[in-house]
Amino acid sequence: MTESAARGLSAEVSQDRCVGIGMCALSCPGGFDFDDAGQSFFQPEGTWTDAEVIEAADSCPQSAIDVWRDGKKLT
Amino acid sequence: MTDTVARVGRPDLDDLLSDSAINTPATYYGDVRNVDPVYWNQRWNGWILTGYDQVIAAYRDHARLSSDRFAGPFGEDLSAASSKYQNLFGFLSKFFVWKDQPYHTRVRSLVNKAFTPRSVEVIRPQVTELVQSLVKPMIGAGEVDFIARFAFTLPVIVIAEYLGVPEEGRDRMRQWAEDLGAVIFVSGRDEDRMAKGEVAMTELVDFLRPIVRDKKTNPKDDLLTGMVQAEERGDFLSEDEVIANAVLMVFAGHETTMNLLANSMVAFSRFPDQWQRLRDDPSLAASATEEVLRYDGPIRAMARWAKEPHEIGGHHIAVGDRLLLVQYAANHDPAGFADPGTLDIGRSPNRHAAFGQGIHTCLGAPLARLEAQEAFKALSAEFSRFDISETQLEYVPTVISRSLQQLHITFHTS
Repeated sequence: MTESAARGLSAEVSQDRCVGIGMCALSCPGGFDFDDAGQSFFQPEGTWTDAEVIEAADSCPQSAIDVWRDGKKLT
Repeated sequence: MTDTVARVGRPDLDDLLSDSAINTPATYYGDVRNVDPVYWNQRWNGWILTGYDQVIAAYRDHARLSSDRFAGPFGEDLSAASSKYQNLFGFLSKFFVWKDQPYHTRVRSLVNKAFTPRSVEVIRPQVTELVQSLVKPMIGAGEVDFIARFAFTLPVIVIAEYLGVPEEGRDRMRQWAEDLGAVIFVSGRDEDRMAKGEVAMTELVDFLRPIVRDKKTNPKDDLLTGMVQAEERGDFLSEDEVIANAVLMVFAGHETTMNLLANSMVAFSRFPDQWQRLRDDPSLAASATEEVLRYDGPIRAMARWAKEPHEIGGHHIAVGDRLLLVQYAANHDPAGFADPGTLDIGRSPNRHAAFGQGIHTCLGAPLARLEAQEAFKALSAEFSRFDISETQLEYVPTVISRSLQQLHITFHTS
C-alpha cells in the first residue's frame, strides 16, 4: 500500500469509455496496466504518486479515468 | 467466362469499390461478414475484418499488426512511386500515425496533451460562436451547399486556429486536402492522383514552413509552437517532422470532421424523430455525436499488415499479410450493437470503433466530438426540419473514407 493510497486517493477506469490508447500507462506506469483485451485498469496496490494518477486522468483522450480523494471526485 | 457466369446474380464481394461497397457499406460489409467476419479478399490480396470483436481486437494488437505504410507489403507497393513523388512520400512517410512503437508513441505523447478533452474544452466558447456565425446565414437562405457553407468551413477554421495557421491559406486548404485525400484514401487513377498529391504536398509544405519557422522566434499559445518547442522539453522533432505532422493535422483535422458533419445530416434525415429528440433535449448532443459516429462515421476502414504469424477467427495470418480493419462494419455488427441499423441518439453504452481503438485511436477525436456537439446543438435548436436536395447521394469511391460528393440542404425554421 503506497502512502498516497493510505491517504485515500483512488482511481477507476471506465470500461465503457476506455479504448486502450495507453496514455495512462505512460503518465503513471506503476498505477495503470492492461488486461489481455487491451483495456486499462488501475492498480491500487501499485507504485504511484497522487500527481501521476491525476496526470494519467488528465491525459486520457477518452476521459475514462475517474479519480477520488477521500470519497470526493477529483477528475 | 466461367468466372462471369458464376458471378451472375450475386454481388462481387471482392470488389471494395463496387457500387454497393461505396454507397451502401453497411449492407455490403454485412454480406461480407455473413460469409466470414475474417474474409480473404482475392482481389485486394488481404484479409477483410468485419466482425465487431475481430476489428476491436485487431485495432488493439499493435504488437503484431503494423501501421507502417512504408514497410512490409504496403511499402513494396509504394517503392516505385516514392522515388518519383519525393515531396509527397517524403512527408507522408513522416506522418506519425503511420509509424509503429516506439516512434509513434513518442510523437503521440508530445502532442497528446493538446488534444485531451480538458484541453479542447477551452475553445468550446469560440466554437459555439463560430457555429452560430455559420448557422445564422443559413436561416431563410433556401437551398445551401452544406459542405461549402458549414461542414468544410467549421473544422478548417477550428484546426487552423488550434494549430496556429493564419487565415490566408484556408481557401486553398480544401483543394490541397482533396488532392492529398485522393492519395491517402486511395481514390482515382493512380498516376493522376500521385501527380496531384505531389503538387498539393509541395504547396502545403511551402505554405507551412515559414509559419513553423516563425513560431521559433514568435512563440504563441498554439500547437505548432508546442511542437517546435518540444526540444525544450527534452525531446526533439526536426523541422520536417513538425511540418509533416502539421500537414497531417491540417488534413485529418478537417477532412474527417467535414465528412462526419455531412454524414450526420443524412443520418438525421433518415431518422427525423431523432432530430426532434435532440431539439427537445440538447443535453443529448454528446451521445448523439457518438451515435452518428457509429451509424455513419467518416472512416470506413484502416489497413494493417502482420509482423508476426497468428490466428484471427480461425484463420492463419501469415507474416506480411495485409488486413483491412473495417470499423464501419464493426459498428453495424449485431454482435456489437442491438438494432445496429437504427439511429438511437441515446444509445448507451456505445462502444463504437469510429475513431479506431488502441494506441492509434484518432488523436483529434476530442476536438471532432466538440465540433460535432456544438454543430448539432445549434442546428437542431435553429431548424425544426430540413430537406436534402440530392435524390441519389453519391460517395467518393475510396476504401478508407466515407465521403459525400456533395450535399445540398434546405433548412426550415417551422
